[in-house]
Amino acid sequence: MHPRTGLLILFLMLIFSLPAQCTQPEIQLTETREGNNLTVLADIADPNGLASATLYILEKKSGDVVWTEQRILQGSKVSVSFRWPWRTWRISNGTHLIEPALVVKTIDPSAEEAPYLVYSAPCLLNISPGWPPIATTAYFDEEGQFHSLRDLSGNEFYKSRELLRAVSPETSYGRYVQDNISLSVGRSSLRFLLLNQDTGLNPFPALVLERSPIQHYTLTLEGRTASPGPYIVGIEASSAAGNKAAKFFELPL
Amino acid sequence: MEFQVRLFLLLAVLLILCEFGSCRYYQVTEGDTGWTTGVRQSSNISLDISGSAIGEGTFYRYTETDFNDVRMRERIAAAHDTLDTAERIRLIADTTNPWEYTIEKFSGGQNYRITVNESWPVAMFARRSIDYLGKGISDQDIFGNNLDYVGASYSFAKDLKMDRSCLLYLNKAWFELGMNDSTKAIYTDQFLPTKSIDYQLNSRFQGLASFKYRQAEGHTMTKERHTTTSEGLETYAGKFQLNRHIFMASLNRGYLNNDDDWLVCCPTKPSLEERIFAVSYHAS
Repeated sequence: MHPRTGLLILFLMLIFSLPAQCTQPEIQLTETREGNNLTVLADIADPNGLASATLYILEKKSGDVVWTEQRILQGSKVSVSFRWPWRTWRISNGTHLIEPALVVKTIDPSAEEAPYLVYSAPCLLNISPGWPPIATTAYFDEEGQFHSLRDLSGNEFYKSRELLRAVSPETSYGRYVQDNISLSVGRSSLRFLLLNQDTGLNPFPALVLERSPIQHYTLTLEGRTASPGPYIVGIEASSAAGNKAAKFFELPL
Repeated sequence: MEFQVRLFLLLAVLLILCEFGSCRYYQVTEGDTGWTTGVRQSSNISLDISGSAIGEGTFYRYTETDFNDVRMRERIAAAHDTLDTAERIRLIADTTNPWEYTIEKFSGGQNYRITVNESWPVAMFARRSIDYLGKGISDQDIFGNNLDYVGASYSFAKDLKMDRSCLLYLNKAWFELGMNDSTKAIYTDQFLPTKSIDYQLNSRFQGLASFKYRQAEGHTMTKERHTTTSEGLETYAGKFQLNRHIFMASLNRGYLNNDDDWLVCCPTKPSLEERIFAVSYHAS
């Protein structure tokens, strides 16, 4: 193993295990690769019970997280399988794009909203230039179409007409836009986030919402084939008591 | 003798004036040469339209406005899909000012000058935005102001985002005919409206688009007889960002510039009504 890789893995282990107490989840990893699909099987155990497990794929050269996925766990010994399709996420507003964006699969959306909230991307909303940013999450469907924008309290700044039709079929979209959407076309913008091992969370340049809400502001999430690598794969596990442990390995080319 | 020639010329000039309600129009024609101002008409009117539409479905729009040759025309047809549009149209036209018509004879010959000074101002502002994504939209608009025009059209556009505004202003119009009553030759023929067009377009599209404009020096015989001072036509096919700002103006011309000359020539300037009466009197 290259010394730099070793240092990187050590650094990541330190970072992700800072809150750990004396008892930490135990992690055993097994990887299999078929073509461009990487499957990581994690056997995780903690006598205090498990809370969640998160997969991180980091580009070794830049330290950027290109893929992440989180699972909610129950029980004290769990086998969980993650799959990375060798892809990264990029987000476009129709004229500009940013990548690799921090995007996760949405955990536990309600049944009627689930088809429209498949992926979620944390971002900073600027309703108008000069206004203070608001921490929000943008939601996309399986095809990458933008359907919702909510802040941490659940206040919704935007809802697509498809989502509105699903949750409130009797409401006219025109009326909804007039009464509920405070985003301003050509002025409001979103800054999506990049997670980097060295610098942490960094906002990308702002993507201005240039089109109408009925066109989903033409904000799209797109999966793109990742570069050949090399990459570092890591699993972070959290116990029900809040303890964390992480295990990383370098993915051979 | 001079009186007879003058009488003959006056008889040859046909003047039509009509008023009903707030609408007024006139036409001055010189019968021997065929020179005419064309029908000029306007109304005392104000119009204010605003609104928006957002939704999914088909969309058609027809708009036609014409006040004293200050014109707007829009034709839109959109196939079934998503559309967001908003607009504002404001128009004010005023015909309370009189229009003035004069005939003067230059001494020592058979040269005559006929002038018409019209002060029926029209101001129109139209702003529209449209955001369409779908199978196809056709969107055409053209704005005209007394021989000048600016317009854009989009055809078979699957993606169209456009913000367009246009301010048209007509302050006054000046017609002038200089002719020799013996030879029937026209030595000057001018139509000089004081006017402006301020057109602004920001658009993004995928499809076909064209943009055109013309600024003209006009003659009054027919609208086709004009001299183009600037003209442009652009056509695009594909995916483009098309932004344009055009301001064209014809200012400080017409009656005010000729005012002093006119006063030197004819210190006693009869009112419009007296002129009309005079024509009727001689005709009978």
